Amino acid sequence: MIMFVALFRAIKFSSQDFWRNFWLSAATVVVLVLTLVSINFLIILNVLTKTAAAEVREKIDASINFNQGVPESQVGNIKSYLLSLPQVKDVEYISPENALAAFQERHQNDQAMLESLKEVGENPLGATLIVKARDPKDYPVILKVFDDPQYEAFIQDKNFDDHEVVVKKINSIAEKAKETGVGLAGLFAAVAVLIGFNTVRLTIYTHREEIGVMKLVGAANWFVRAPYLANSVFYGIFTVLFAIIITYPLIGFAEPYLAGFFEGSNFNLLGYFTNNFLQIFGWQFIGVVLLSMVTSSLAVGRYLKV
Amino acid sequence: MIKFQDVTKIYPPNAAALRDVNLEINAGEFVSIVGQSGTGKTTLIKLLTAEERVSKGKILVGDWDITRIRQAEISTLRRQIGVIFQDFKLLPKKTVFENVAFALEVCGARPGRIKMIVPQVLRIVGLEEKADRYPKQLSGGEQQRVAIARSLIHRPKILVADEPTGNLDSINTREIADLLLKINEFGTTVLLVSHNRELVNSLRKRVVTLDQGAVISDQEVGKYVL
Repeated sequence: MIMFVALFRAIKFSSQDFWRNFWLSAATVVVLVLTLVSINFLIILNVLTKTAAAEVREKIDASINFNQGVPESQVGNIKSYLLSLPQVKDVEYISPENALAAFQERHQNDQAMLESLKEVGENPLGATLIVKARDPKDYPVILKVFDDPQYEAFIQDKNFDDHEVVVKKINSIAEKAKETGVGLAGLFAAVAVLIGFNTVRLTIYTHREEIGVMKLVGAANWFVRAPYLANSVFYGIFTVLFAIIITYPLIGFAEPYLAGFFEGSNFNLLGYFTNNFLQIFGWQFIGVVLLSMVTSSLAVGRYLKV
Repeated sequence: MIKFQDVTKIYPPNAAALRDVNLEINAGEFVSIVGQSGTGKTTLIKLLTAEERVSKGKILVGDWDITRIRQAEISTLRRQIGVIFQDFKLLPKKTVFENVAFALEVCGARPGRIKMIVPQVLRIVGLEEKADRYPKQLSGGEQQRVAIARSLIHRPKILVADEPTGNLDSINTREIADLLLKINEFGTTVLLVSHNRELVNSLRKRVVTLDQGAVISDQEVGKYVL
């Protein structure tokens, strides 16, 4: 019971310190909030990069164009064989008629092309198989199948548009942005440590009389030190609260633009933050409290001789 | 009750504040410690309250050897030794009641106990009517009485008064001396450190005289001899 009462009083004194040194506390909280917002920016960047890379990877496929006149049953056999391969995710069959229609649509403004197609008289296109691999790295393995002489005779050509270059570029840009973000978060954290250290030092200085009396009348060491450490919890609460207040409207503002960019995908940044709310802000709260506690402990150890 | 055995305190690099001090104070005694400035009187008090550590020797409070007292035990020791100073050390933004209550608050006393004990102690020092006043609204003597009330709040076995009348006029000095004698009559051991020859002589109690860090005189019913 005595311990509970003492703990309650330590928290009360801590709360008084926090509000009595409002501007110092505010400066510490502001820098800590900037640190968390930078971290949230990194999280957003990470989600965007992953979504963008997944979107690009989704667009990768290989086209196998068959010679004109290859029977549909033959193409069907090859399709079945491809589907049996573990590396293959999906195979789409495009009949010669559909291939022609798609070709005509693609070249509807190219009169010369349409004229020459008319001159040929019949459908010059064969069937096509669009193959999607489970992993982009598997395409060379899949396409190697068609080097087999038993298939080679049916194949007019095979295309594989390697979008990995784009994926690498996205990752490289994201990596650079991430490095900048980590640097920024580190810088803000360092400033927060310095400001927090100075805040505790000044608080100890302004309360030197009170601390002296506490020691004189036999307050336990932990009780004299506790308010400065309990302040860390106040910093944690206010910092995370303000980080949430800033991060959510920012996401809300950016979401429609980002959703337009990732049209067709199930991209939902707000949903990501809401679904992982406890994980994201819980860890951030723990991080801020630990950072402030380390700072306070250093300052208390240096300036508060009990 | 209190034993100083061959106590030496040397401040770096080589300033000896106390040299081989042997002193035994019995429970319930009233002892005045006198001497000129810089003779080690305050060092003696600081060693007793574990603000400083001895360089050599041993200090016993009851059966407790506080020579190598652990950091966590210091608060327990200080609750058994009430201390008052020349400058009172009151908190200016707290009332008389709050100043006295603060000593209980920081030690985890329950609110009900604080409400019960503080008025009792204020009654002993004659300040129950001024519980709501702030220190600056009190005379020097009254402020010292608040400090005494605060020092008594844990019912200490020992009360150490370090120049308690240094800032007071003769009337207030007498009042404080009478109060210390009254507290002593209740059974509390009182150690009075003072420069005030008149006060020490009027008490007709034991006087220990220090000179250059050593005890040069110890009289049962003594006088200020320097």
